[in-house]
Amino acid sequence: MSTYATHPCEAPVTFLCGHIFHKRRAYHGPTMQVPSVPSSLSGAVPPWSNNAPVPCKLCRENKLWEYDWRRRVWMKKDNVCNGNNHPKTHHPTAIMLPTPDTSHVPYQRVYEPAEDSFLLLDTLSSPSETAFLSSRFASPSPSSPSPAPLVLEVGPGSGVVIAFLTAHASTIFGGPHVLTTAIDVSPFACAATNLTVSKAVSENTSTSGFWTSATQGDLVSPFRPGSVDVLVFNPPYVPTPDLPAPPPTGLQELKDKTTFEEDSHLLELTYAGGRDGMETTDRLIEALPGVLSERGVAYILLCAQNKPEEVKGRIRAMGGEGKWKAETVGTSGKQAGWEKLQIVRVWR
Amino acid sequence: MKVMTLNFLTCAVKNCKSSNDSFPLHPKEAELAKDDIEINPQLLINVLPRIDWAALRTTSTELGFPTLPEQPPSPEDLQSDEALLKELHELLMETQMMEGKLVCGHCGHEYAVKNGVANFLLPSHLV
Repeated sequence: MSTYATHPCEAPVTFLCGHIFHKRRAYHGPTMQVPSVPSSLSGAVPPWSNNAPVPCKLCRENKLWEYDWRRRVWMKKDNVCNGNNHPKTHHPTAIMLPTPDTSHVPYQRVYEPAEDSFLLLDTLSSPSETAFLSSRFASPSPSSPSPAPLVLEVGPGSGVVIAFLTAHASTIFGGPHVLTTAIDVSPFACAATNLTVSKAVSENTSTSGFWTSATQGDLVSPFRPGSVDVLVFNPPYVPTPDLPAPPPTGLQELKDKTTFEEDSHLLELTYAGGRDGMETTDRLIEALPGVLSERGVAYILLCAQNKPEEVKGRIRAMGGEGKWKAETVGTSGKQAGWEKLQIVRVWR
Repeated sequence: MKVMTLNFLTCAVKNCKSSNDSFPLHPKEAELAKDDIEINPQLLINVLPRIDWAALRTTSTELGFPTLPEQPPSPEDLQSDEALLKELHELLMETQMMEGKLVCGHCGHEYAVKNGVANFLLPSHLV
């Protein structure tokens, strides 16, 4: 029997087999127990709704709204909830921007969308963030065009987040004139992302931005200084004793057959964050002043073990007091008083 | 990778960032493909202000496209000059580099482009 170090944010899990995919799931307990609603979403109404909770007519419980975790949509029932002995005459209505389809993604070597990915989707499409992004990047009028922002996702994996941002650019950024791109160390993630985005765009042509293509590389290393306007990063944030090595030459190209060890290596790169789970994220934060434009904004996902308050403090101290701002703009419910996952917005 | 991407990318080697020769990267043995995309003048007008025009001219010539005018067109120019609009649309939005190499003019490092994805991972001695 082997016991794996578990994600300190989760309950300990012991596995009999040594499969790394299970190990990854062990780190992220909630994704194993589908259906699981992110705890911030288990309330009576969607976070973006101004409506007061409406109780079910029969049981008086606030269950008319329900979050479909897999499809990432809120379902609203008319009068009665799904309680025992309630009549099932009402068809729920789905409301929200749909999640891009990632059914083609090989999850044995590419990170499967999970609670962290969906928290990014929810946060970036929340009223407060769309208002912030629109005021920063939308053209005031057609006659005075503002330069189309470049949106970059670092480490897109399946591509679900950048596909969502591309397909719903009009809703999120206040206009479709947005360029999107992504960079990942894994060639399989690059290929998956290109396909996920193309699919999502073809289903949302009227609201989509312009997808340029995924690039393979380390963090933001090939991007020109000052070129990125919106950067999104769901890092490998799990604390681990060591960082995995970058992909060797044999893993830098697409191929039909990979070994179990190669798949394990690629998955390890998606979650293993080294000391405090921050080694990779710290490198990205260090690169932000160089790669972000003057109006640039970064959204970085952190878990409780990353010591988010200290991270925000470090960002606020960059380049002298008051130059950089860092605020938490999205959270996945509390556990023992701690926010398990949170999204930090970083901007000048 | 869309040709437009070449306008945002430079050599991944740290020491090359400060050199003017590292941008734009020079395509070599490039195999191109063309996606059919509906022309969107408003998008082009919004994209142009963030394009480094001199670099785009170089890229255009190196990929065998017609030489672009020396100065970037204004929004009014674009709306009245349909030929230029089409040309830019084809170059920036439709053309993809599928195979080949991207070469840094400063350090000479060659980045491979395969299946439309450029690989900017550096060998350990260059990191």
